[in-house]
Amino acid sequence: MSQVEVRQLVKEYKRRKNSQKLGHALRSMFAPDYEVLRAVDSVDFSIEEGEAVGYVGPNGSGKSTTIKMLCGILKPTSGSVKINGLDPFKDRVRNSRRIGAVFGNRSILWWDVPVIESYRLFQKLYEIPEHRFQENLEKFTEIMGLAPLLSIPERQLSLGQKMRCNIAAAFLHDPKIVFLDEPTIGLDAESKAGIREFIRRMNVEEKTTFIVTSHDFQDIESLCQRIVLINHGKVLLDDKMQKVKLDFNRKKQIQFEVDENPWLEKGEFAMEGVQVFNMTNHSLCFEYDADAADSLRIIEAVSKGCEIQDITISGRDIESIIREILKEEAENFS
Amino acid sequence: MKRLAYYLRLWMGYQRMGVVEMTQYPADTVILVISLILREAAGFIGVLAIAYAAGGLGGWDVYEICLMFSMCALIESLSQTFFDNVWGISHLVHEGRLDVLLVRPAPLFLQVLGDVTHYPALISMVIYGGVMVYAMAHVGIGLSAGLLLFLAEYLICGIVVNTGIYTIFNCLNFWIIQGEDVAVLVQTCREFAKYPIGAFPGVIRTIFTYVLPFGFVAYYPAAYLTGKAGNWVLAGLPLSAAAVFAVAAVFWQMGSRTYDSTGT
Repeated sequence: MSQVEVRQLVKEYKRRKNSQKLGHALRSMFAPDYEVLRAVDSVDFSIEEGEAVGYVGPNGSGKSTTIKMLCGILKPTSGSVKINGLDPFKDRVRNSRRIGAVFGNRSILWWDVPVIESYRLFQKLYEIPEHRFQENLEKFTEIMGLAPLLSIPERQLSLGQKMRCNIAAAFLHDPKIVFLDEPTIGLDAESKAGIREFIRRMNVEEKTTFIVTSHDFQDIESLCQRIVLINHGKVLLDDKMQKVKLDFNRKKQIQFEVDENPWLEKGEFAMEGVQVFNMTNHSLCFEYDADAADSLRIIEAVSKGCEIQDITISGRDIESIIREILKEEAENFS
Repeated sequence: MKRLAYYLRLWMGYQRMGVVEMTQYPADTVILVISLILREAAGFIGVLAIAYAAGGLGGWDVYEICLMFSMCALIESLSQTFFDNVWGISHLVHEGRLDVLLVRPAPLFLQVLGDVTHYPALISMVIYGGVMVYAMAHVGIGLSAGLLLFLAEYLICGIVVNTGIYTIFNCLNFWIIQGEDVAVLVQTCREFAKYPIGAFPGVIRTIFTYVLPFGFVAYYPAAYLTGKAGNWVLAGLPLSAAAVFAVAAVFWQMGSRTYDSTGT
């Protein structure tokens, strides 16, 4: 049996219909109209111990709702979740001893006391033996440089410091699975790198399973071996990161820095197998199919119109792959 | 038994947190103490003035009213110290902060209560404790083992009734957006409990005895101590506390199961 098993998971929200008309609004105070919103729609996946899975999708796609059902915060409308064989909603207390959760937009620490006081209360909450507590604290302090922060109340920490302290807190009780919901939201490059490094080490050294949601595809790319893409509550893609990249990487990107971009005014840049990715006054970025078009011909065509200052050719990153899948879905949808 | 020991350790952990929090904000602490004392005293002084002028109220003399008021304030300050976060349910629910508590391996209600403690409220408890002793001396109630036992019963049952009723109405926040308004309404009703409700019309007396048994927070126990009510109060206290506790537990269970978080 897998560590996490999600079967036909559905979550529906009842949302009150709000009318623009005052008369309707008044009537709905007593007899409200509801519409049913299916946030998560028949989701299936399994996760093995030690895997790191990126759970991605646009805003409102059902990511957070799924995570909340996996943590036992929300009750599924139908379908089942099993974590180590336990139902996280019915067996909330037992399940939460073995999981950790970090919410990028919500602190799990106590706001107005020194960080170490919060950690001490976590020790009591999770009944962490003293020696294990010290070992973990020492290790995390070293990796993420927490030593000077422990005696400061959370409210006086910077966003990056706060997040580091939050992440350490979620690992104090040696969780088997950790859910990271937007762990690097709003952080600078250095803090992000530090947090990624810590997560990667916990994944390798402690075999901790990770489920990460993020809009920062660098998080996903650097941390996860597998990616699950969800939109409108449905899983669109569930595959190994490497395989996704191979499958979709027939396409490449070429970017030019130019003195002046004549195509911005003239209109489209037309060449077979080449699409404009984006354009500004001083830059051009194309996406082309490596089978149908040739980079040299594109360069030639561009150099006829303006003076090229710099060229970059790259395989596409996971972000643009995802964007394409979503675009295709939107077209099929309509 | 192991569970119970765990809850107790956790409770102590939260209490420690409360003390550390208090030391972080010395100015707030002072303001809170003053406001608590004034809040209870404001109504108190008004009624005392009337009682002095009229020579009593509904068959209660001035010292008996003092006794009842101080008992009421005693319960309120203990509730403020340890159980005030039932008033935080609305924030926890509407801001989705219950998420964080739900991923921890401890009963939700324990975590909610533990999250906020107001130790400064204990100072107001000491002051009203003093008023109570003073009033008892004047009414002529002597210290005895029976009295201490009764006070212990009264404090436990009174707190359960008081906090339980607040919990029931604050639980409405799980279903409606402005549930706190209803709870504030109930808290306003509680003001009645500070007066000898025997002086009120029968309907009001019935409500505060059987529907919202705030009568057991001060009036009936004080009536028992001054010989105005019989031994039935000894049974009425635990019965009303048990009833309120049961209803509150059902509301809490049902409410926390309907929690739908927020869209983040």
